[in-house]
Amino acid sequence: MDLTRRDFLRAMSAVAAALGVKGLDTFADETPGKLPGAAPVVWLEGQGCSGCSVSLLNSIFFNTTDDLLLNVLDVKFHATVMAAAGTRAIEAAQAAQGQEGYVLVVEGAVPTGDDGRYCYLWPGLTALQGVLDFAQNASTVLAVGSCSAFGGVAAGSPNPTGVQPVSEILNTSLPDKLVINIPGCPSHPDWVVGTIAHLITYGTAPTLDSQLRPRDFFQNKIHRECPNFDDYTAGNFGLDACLLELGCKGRNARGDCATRKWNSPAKAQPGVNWCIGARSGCIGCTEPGFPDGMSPFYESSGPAAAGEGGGAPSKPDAKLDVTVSDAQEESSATGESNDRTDQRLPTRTLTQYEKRRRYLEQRAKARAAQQRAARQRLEAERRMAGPRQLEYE
Amino acid sequence: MPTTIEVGPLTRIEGHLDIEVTVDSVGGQQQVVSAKSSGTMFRGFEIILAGRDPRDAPHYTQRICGVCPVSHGMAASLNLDAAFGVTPPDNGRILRNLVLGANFIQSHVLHFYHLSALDYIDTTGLLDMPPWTPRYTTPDLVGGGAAAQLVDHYVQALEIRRKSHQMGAIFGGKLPCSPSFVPGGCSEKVTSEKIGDFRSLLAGITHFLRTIYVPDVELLADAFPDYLTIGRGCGNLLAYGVFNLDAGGNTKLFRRGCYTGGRYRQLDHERITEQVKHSRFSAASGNLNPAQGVTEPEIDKPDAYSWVKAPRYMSRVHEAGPLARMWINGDYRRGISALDRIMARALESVKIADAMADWLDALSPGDPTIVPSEVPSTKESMGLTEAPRGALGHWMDTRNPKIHRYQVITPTAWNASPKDDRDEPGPIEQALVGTPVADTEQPVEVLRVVHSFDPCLACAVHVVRPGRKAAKFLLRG
Repeated sequence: MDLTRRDFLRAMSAVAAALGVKGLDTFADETPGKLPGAAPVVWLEGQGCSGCSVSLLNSIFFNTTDDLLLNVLDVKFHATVMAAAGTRAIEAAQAAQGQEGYVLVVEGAVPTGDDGRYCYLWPGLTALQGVLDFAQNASTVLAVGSCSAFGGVAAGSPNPTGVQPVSEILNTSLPDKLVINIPGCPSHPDWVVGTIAHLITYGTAPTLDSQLRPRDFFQNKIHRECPNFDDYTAGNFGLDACLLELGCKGRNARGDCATRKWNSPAKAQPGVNWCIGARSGCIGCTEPGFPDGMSPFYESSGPAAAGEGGGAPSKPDAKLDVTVSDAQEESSATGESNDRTDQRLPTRTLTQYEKRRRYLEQRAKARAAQQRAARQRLEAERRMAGPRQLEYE
Repeated sequence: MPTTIEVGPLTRIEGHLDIEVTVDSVGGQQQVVSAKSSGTMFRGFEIILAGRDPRDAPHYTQRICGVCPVSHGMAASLNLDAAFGVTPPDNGRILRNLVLGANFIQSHVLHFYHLSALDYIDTTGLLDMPPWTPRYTTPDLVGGGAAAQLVDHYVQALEIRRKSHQMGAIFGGKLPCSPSFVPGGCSEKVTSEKIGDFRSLLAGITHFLRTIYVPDVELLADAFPDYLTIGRGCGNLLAYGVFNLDAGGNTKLFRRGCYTGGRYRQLDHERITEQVKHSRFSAASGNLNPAQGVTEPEIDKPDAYSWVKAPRYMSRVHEAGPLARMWINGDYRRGISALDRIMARALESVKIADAMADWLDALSPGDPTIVPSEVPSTKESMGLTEAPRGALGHWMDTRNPKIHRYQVITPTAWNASPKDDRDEPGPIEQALVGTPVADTEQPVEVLRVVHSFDPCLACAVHVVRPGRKAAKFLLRG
């Protein structure tokens, strides 16, 4: 199969268009093999399940997998797909390590317990040491998947092997190293490809949020664009309506799954389905609190448990809860126990959400009232001071 | 003069595996005389599962492996069906089978082209860049037109496996890791439109399986006839069976059974034990059936060389996988070898794809796909099914009603197991014995035999732990 430069540029334009940027003309030569500018990648896998690699192989929205492997990426080391094994593979990794500027991808959790001996990349090299070593000469570190980004399932209580997020592991020895988190369990191929495309095209990271996730993909809560939102506000809960009472954590998780969906059939096409589309609530897999803070996944937070009567918010501007700041929403993601004695199974009833929403409304009203009062005071002062004061406004 | 070669990382598998082989001259030929298979990663899934809501099991266990998550979803949901005392409606049973079938096909296509084929072909002039270089360059690699054809098909196969996942997501929600496996059925609905979309994808994929995948395997069998004897191993096969064709699971597309010492027998799951003499778990936890499994990791245990335990049936070594399924089902009995495993895998894909077309016809749009269920306060249950790599079982003990004990025995635990309590090597270790190694710097023959098992090490290593506090046994030494 032949991919021409035109095909590649078209693909890159699709990337650029999808990322909302214009103008892309950075490749002058047409050479066989990797196109110039192909990003050298060293892909290390820790305590992973390879799900993020398998998910990446489903890429088609921006670039197909063959395009990625043949043209866009220069994959120096990836234990799942590379031809060489044993010492020959180790040598390939070490040769790549010697040339600064590669993208280091870490998939899977990195255990730190027992000197990291719960996971070896190859004989004599733990995943922990490998990540520290290979991050030195990397231009960027991508923590792909919730395991490497935040700890993920492997860090689920009681975190038997001492998993730590990659960003924390690197924080001590390489505090200035650029780490980008692309969470998800698994991560969506578009999130990974889109981020890499940005890195290749602009040489810089895309805008990141407070969790080091690219805002392009993780800006909004799932809840915000969920097609079941009207059911939520109307208080229609159930398998064919809003999945809140079936445990959906869409209000706690950021991602564009509602619009991008999963398993795209073609270039620039949304996916054929997604979790909520299949009538299964969001399990919040993109958040640092996953999985403990999102468990139990099916625990109802609907009104039936509380007996408070009609817990559904009646106002259409119930969207207020999605404008709450990152910090507040992050803490809501980790959850709190209510009447359960077991601290590991947190729940939150709808009335608690309702209470908080009303509290936030009151706060907003109070703020608005304060601002009004301040404005009135200022105007009164100006009137008393006379027209001369106008030049200071 | 024996030489020991360590092949680590063993690439083009799932997970972390080191293979150590000792080679020596036997009858004038340098070949493997002994082998050690070592899983080098451990997470502790059963520790993590203890104390959680049983309904969460299908989600958690699917993260054991991203190549065969659906099998874990199936095993966990069968386990929950048994625990909750429910039987899915036909629609729900069929949807689960369809999503599982789609992932089987994805996994097998991925395995042959992207994980195995590079062991057999010379890609010089075709794929001269990373990750296909550096590569082995032994003289027995097939070049010329055959290599060009396989490389072309390797690229096509990337699209086919992507489409298999797209197809599975129609009813599975998303792949990898399908959220629609729930106790009592499948959360997704059946509509005529979904059936139509699934059917058209299936037709294209089936065409590839029949006209490209199977002939490519035949091409390799012609070019490498030695591998129809190399890599035999223990010769005992085991299958739990998969793809329930009726509500009770009494009829399956692949039946349950075993082939032990040359005889076909019924499988009694109570005769499964996991032995730990050479595995990094405490001696006290060894040789127990998974329903009573007691395990404590011991990272510095002497004589232990793997995080994989040694599952044994009737205390004997057994191999799991497509060859075991097809053999026990009577669909393939040519022989047991590296290429027989690869051929059985290809033929199984066609069998499953053909069956899936029939299952689509049996769906009823609009009828329920799920029955309601309640978590019991106390129950012991299990779910036995097959992953692409072989027999997969989940055992659960529910109390209070939380998960008190959850144990998983995966096919690669069977296949990549180390020596057991009687020092009998596992299937891969046995299969490697007798494998010729022409060049110890390029042990491609070792790769061919190991890859024929399609190892998945994330599956193989995880621990059983009953309701003991984690802190007590966590990190010793």
